[in-house]
Amino acid sequence: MLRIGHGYDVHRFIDGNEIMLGGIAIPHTKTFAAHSDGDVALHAITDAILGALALGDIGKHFPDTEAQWAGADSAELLSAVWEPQQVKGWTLVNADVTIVAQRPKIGPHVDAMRNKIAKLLGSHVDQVNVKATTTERLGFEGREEGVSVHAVVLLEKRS
Amino acid sequence: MAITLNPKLFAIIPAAGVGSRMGFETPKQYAVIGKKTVLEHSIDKLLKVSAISKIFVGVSPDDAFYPSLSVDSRVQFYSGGSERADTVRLGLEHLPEDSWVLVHDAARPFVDSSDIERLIASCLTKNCPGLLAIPATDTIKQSSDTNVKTLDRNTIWFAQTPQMAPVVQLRLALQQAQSQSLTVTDEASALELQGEDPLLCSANKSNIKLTDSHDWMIGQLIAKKQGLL
Repeated sequence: MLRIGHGYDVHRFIDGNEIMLGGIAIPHTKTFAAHSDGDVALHAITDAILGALALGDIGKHFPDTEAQWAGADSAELLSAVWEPQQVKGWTLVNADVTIVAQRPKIGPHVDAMRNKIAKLLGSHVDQVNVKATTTERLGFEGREEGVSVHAVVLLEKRS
Repeated sequence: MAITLNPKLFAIIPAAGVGSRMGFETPKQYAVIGKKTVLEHSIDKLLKVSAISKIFVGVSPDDAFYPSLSVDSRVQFYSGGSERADTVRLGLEHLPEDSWVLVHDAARPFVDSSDIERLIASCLTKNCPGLLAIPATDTIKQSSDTNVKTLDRNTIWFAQTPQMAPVVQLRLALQQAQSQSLTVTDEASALELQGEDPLLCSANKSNIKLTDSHDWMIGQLIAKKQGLL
């Protein structure tokens, strides 16, 4: 059986000195205003998995109002969602992640992100793509107010 | 907490369910969290309580998984029944009449061993059955066809396990419930039907029962906190 899922997330910038994106710390003049480490890419992937399996979204399972998850980083939440699905026999066919950001430059970090995401998803790095685009300075990403990420995952379970 | 025990104390884990409605390829007690199955984690938590002399695990006669578990010499498997209460009753037959028993859900691997020790101490001190439970913090509504009302949450508890009772008392309570065709969803409710008032012993919130998909996700986070991954 194959299932496809899409995830989308946005985080707003505040002053800072680095951002977490795709599981990687990237030096920047800003950081994300967020409940956790604000890793908008891992959040989008998590939502894509939940979407593929008709399990709602990240906010349903780990609401911001629950103080007990405030310290959980985005990689932990992704693993918490994905591990039980792997036990149920689901594997990743591929993931495609699009980061929409004017700055910082994402290109130099793409391979590190792919490796990190592949490790979290228990897959080979060839099954994970990360690409980045600017918006030609249009919109909130173009004005460098924040970053958005789209993620698509295809999952497979052999019966 | 060191407990000097006289009479003896045993545990029963009913694990004869073969349902896999969660979509796992195995019955859920055999789903793996970290390096071990859920059932092994639950057994480990009870093994940490030295006052428990032996743990009886009731499995389905068709269970092909349990022989591959590597367990302590304090653990013994036996053939359970079709319903949870049947499995518990069959387990009680292995226990001496003058002993006490703790019944624990296979699907509660995150129970705090020190909570179990507090429960044991409370029950033995007060010579009364008891169970781990969590006081309600949400506002609780009760609805019927015609109206909705708000219950006094100070009186509401969510029952967990282990649930502890003298073997003779629990055996009688389960037999009576069965003979009257009364459905009991836990051991304490069978005892309540006999007019007992089990002690409610406040437990850690992490002692969740792994039931739906959400529980398994939260379970991963709890397992990480407890160093089980």
